[in-house]
Amino acid sequence: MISLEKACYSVQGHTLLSETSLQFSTGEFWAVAGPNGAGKSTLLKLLSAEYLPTKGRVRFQGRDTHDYRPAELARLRAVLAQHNPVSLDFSVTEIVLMGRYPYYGHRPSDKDLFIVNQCLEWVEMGAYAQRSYPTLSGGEQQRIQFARALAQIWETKNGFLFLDEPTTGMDLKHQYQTFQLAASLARQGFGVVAVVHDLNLALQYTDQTVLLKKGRIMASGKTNHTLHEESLQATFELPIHLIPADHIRKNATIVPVPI
Amino acid sequence: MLLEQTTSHTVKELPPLKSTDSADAKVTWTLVLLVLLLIATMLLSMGIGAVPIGVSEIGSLILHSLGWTSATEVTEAKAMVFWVIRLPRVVLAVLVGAGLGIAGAALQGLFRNPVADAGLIGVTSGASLFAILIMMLNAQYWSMINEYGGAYVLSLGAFVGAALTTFLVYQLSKLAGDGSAAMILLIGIAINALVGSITGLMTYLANEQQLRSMTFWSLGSLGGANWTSVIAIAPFVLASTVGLPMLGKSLNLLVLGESQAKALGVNIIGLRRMVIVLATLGVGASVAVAGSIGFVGLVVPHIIRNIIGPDHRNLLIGSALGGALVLAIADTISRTIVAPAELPIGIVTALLGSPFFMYILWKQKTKRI
Repeated sequence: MISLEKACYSVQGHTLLSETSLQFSTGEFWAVAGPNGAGKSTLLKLLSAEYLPTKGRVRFQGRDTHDYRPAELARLRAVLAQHNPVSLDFSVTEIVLMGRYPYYGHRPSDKDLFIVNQCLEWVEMGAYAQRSYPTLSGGEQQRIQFARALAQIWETKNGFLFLDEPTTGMDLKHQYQTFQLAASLARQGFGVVAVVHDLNLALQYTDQTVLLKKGRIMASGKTNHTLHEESLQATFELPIHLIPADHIRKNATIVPVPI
Repeated sequence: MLLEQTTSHTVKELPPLKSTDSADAKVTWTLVLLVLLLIATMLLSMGIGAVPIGVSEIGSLILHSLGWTSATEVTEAKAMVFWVIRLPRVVLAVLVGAGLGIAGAALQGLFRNPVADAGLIGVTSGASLFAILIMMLNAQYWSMINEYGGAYVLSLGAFVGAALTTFLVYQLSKLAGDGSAAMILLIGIAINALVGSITGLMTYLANEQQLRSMTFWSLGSLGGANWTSVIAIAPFVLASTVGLPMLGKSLNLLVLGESQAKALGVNIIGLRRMVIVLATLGVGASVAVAGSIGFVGLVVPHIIRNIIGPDHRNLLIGSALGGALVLAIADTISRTIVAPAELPIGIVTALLGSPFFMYILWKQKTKRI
């Protein structure tokens, strides 16, 4: 569990995230949504301990994040960035194996290699193991990075996975696949927190949602309770229509209404 | 917890586990080949010169000195040439080359920039400035020192210059900016220009003879090799060739970007400091005894990366070996091609290196398709 207790993050007088208290449990899939500049990435970086709160505290499994050594955290949580360009000619296997670096010294064990292969299978990129990473398309690279992040916390009990707009550059099918994968990880006991722009994907797959605007929480809680017309209109300053779930659509659908 | 669940439900046939084995074998063989080539080049280089010494004679001299054979048929004069001139010179070439090669590879990894080398963070310009300052002052006031220890003062000064300038670049990047890799590069450019302008002023003020020795220094030479210079730089080069490969895994993770590397447990600030200190030690010491030798630190890592791939754990060791090999060859050419005179080694490395470098770039392009 990660808890933010009146956590605040500001840079040179600019508050990117003002006093926030929230709890993220394992077994839950969280969506972080909101307009550009709302503090979504800042929240994610506070959770992943890339940033330390300037006021208040962030506690990862009871301990303050600044009490952890980087190597310790590396075995507890993984982060998937939005863009992952790699200029050097590493193979796909080598990139995914980097997720196992926190676990082995000089040479990977058979188990490390096994996990790498498993993770590649999970993202359906098993056939690409020997390919050169920089030659892959953006969406394919993103899936390899997902496998890399997965390899990092594969055996971690109560591990956390942070995804910053994980479906950037992916086609429709793989967008859904990625969310399905993230949701199934949450069901297996991981905590998953993702910055999400497509609110319909959030409605369909996530358990909890936090809506941010200008560094403040607009609403948070169960996704289908949080994402309603009033909260969305207040957050995005856009008239929004919610089509309720029916026998075809198991979830409500969000449609912006043109003025 | 995932592991147990998925193993029991695995339906798909998994690909063979040790998918990296063939690549590993290629790396091992390349490194072994580099070592063998280096030994062959050293033997060749020790044999070539005004007094030719055969391989068997070299073997007999070494065995004799180790006390394994009681007598040697090699003449006293040849033995002197071997022990006092040839051997220290070859060893110095190997040390300087290894220092330049490994530092280039490490800095290219740290800055995630294929054109990075020690010149960017001020090592070379700082060493040059101090060396030239000493040449100027030496002639004016310290001609006494020159008689006895001028060469050592010059080396020591160059090393101090290299270390001070790099330290200044690093500290200013933290003071003026956020100490990021990009900031270090920008401050490096500014400090290099500043130091370069002072060096330029010195050149402008210098007399004919000073100008000649400055030019010669800036093109590099191993002409001053002796056991003292070998012993002086050996600890520094050893520190960087032992220390830098230990940072190989962290440098690999840096390829994913600083924030991802951090998430994977890399202490970015500590890594940056270690790489800069170790690279400066190796290159600073090398520049101090041999002058500024360009191109080795830039090109050798590219060639090695092209052969054995970008994994820094292998690349750093390969670049040290490759740098040593290239410099041993270049030095042999530089002292034999216009014998009895010597060509500055920087001319040889750039003249041979640039066409080869362009060939590598061209090959990389064709490989990518």
